[in-house]
Amino acid sequence: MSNKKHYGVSGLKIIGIHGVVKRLGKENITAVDDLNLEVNHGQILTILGPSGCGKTTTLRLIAGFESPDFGVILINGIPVAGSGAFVSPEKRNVGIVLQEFALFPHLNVRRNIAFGLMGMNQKEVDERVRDMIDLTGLQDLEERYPYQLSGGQQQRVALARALAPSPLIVLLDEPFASIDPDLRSRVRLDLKRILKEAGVTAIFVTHDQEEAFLIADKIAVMNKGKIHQIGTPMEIYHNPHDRFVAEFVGHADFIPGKANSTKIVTEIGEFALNSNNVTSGEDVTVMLRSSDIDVIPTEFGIGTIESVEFKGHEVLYSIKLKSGQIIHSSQHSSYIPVVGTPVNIIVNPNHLTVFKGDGISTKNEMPVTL
Amino acid sequence: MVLPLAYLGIRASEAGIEAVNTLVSFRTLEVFANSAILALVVTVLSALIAVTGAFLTVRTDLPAKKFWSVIFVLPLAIPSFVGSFALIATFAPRGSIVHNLLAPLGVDALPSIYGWPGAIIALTIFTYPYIFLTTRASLRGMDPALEEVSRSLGCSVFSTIRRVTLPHLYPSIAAGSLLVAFYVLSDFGTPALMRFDSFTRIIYVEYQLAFDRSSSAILSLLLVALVGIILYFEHRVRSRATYYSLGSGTKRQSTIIHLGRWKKPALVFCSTIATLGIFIPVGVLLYWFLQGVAVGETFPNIGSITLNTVYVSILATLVIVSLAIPMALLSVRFPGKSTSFIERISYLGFAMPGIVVALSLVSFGAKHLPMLYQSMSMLIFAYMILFIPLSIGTIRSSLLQISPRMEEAARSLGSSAGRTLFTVTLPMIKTGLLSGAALVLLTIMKELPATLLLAPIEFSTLATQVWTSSENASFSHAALPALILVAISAISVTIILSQEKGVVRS
Repeated sequence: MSNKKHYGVSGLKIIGIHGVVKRLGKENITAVDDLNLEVNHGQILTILGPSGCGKTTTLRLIAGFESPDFGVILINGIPVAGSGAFVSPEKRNVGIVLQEFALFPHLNVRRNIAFGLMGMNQKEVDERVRDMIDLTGLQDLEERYPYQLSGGQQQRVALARALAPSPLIVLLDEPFASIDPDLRSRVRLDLKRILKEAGVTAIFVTHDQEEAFLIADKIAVMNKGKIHQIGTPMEIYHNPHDRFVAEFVGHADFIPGKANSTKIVTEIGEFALNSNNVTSGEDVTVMLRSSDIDVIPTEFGIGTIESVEFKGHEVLYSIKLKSGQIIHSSQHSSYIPVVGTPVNIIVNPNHLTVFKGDGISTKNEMPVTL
Repeated sequence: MVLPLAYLGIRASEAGIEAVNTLVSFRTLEVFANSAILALVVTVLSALIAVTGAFLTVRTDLPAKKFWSVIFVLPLAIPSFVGSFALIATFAPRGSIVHNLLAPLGVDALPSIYGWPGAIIALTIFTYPYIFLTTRASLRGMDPALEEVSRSLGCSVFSTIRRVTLPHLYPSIAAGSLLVAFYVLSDFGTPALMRFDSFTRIIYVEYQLAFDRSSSAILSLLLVALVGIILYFEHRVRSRATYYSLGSGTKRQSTIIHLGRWKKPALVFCSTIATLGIFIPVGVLLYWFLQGVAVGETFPNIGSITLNTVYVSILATLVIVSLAIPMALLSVRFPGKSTSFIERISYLGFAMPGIVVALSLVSFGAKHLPMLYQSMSMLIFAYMILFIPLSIGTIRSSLLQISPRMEEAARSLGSSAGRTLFTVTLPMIKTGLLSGAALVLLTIMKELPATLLLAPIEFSTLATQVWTSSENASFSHAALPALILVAISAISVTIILSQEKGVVRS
């Protein structure tokens, strides 16, 4: 499948995944398809994707619970899977925090954290457990059993347990899924702080883009076993590589247009074109985020308000253009025009993302003039 | 439920000084020790077999795993006294199949199977499935993430089993073990047939031979005390066990352990259990039955015996179920102090040995209600005390599966409480109700000690027929009713298992 070369390891890359393919189950569904991924030391990488995209399988491949059908996985420069090698999970020095935390129900907090501390004397174990409890803020809960803990506390115990044996990498599989929504945002920041303080490399899997933006240094957007884009949260949101990424990381509207030598002409106006990849006369699509669009009620607008969703801190309008195209605008406004109001729209993005016919974006960093 | 105990107390106190003598006599202590040790040994052996079996059939690459997991449950379908009879008919010192085979070689008598070895083997083989079922369910329901985390924390496969898997299984092993211990203590048929001096046998012997009611009453109370101690531990294990169900976990397949060179020993182990637990008992019963047919023996009137059994069981089941429905409804829908008290009292009945209930009713009836003594109504009353907990249990579990919101919806649509009961609640638990009733029916058909003591004279059931024939060592007479009992048992085991599946699915 993959005839990619075995990359040399720069020394900074703590994980290298090269050309990995994994098929699962009796039907041999391809869960991970020719995956290439590298993670730097101390980095928090988020794998973001819809359920069933292969992100959890990727984690399980790194942890050693699955072995790849093709390709190589390197940890700290040493092959742990592929090309004949297979290092069993207990010898990989990889910590894991799972969705439901999988705390050992028969052990209290202290003994859960100490579980992986083998080959140490009692004093060293106590010291390490104490450090982990301080790091994760679990003081006074040492003697509790998992069922006596809240979701957030369970998560911190799972994290402390994974960090205790000083792993090279910590893998986190949807660690916020079983935490109350109103606690999540606080818990997310706690998690990021703990991971950064511990200085550990982390790979974190989620389907929630908000979560990914908040925690990640870098995000890898994944779908159907393939990585679509790797980049910083800013890059992912503002310069999505293709339509899938654009739609997955936030609300986006796609307006069809035609390119001429200097402009893209669309129903809502003309945008300056600044790309060598687009030829004159080509059909393109312009991506707009709802926050980039303002609505101005006027008598002879280019569209009418189709629906209004009041969300408290903002209002989301759906505007139906004359062509039938729907476009969205979110605004902070105390004045809400009613449904049916004719409006004009003003587009004010700080940059423009243009997709060619094949759905792949082309760089277009020009500010837009209407 | 309280009545039998209170009455036993009165009888025992009547003995006065003698009671103290009986209580501290060497004989009593010996019986107490016998029963306790037997329960312990059988429980430990059963747990070993069951846990090994559960592990092999769930977590290894044993060939034909599905087949073996059915095989491991099947001995449950053989009532232990029928199984004991079959083992005796196979291995008894004289006149058994093995002896008949070896006699031409000049073997005068086989080493005795009676006493400790027989009692231990028979009870272990026919009760370990209780532990197997609970352990297997818990092993299958275990979140594979627990073991994965343990692996990623540096534990090997085997230290993961020791440090994570087994601790996870302890509560279910304990729950199954307690069932086994209860069973051993209250079982009457096996110790009696194996001539093992346990409480149940001595109580019967005292009653039968010496007709000494106060000393058998004292022994009964001691037995109840022993059961009470175990109940107390069971309660403690249960309340501790709550923390074992944490999170639903993901439904992923656990890793399968490759047996490698252990495959052969594993298969030998499985086959041995299957041979002792199923093939020998069923084969031997068939053998003696055909033997009897071949020599043209006149069988006792099996038709009328079966009819008797069915008749009395149906009658008792009707009484039990009609009493159990309101009790179960009360305890599920209106949980309060008095209803939970009713519930608990009736669960005490679950642990009450049949022989004790029978004995107290015999003494009570003979003295105060002579017209009812050895009458059908007395027998049915005994069945009621013994099996109402079982019935309440099955009805409760089906009631618990339907949401009270359904009933509330019916009420808000203008249906009265009574109409709701008959048009909503009962139709919804119909299947559970029927299978529960079938279970009670089949259990009554197998009941031995109470039937033996309380049945009207000349009234015999399948169980008592097996009993008297095997006591007289007329193996071929016991074979046919025993086979019928095995079939009945097999049906009730199927019902239990299908109910368990239903609970899991919902």
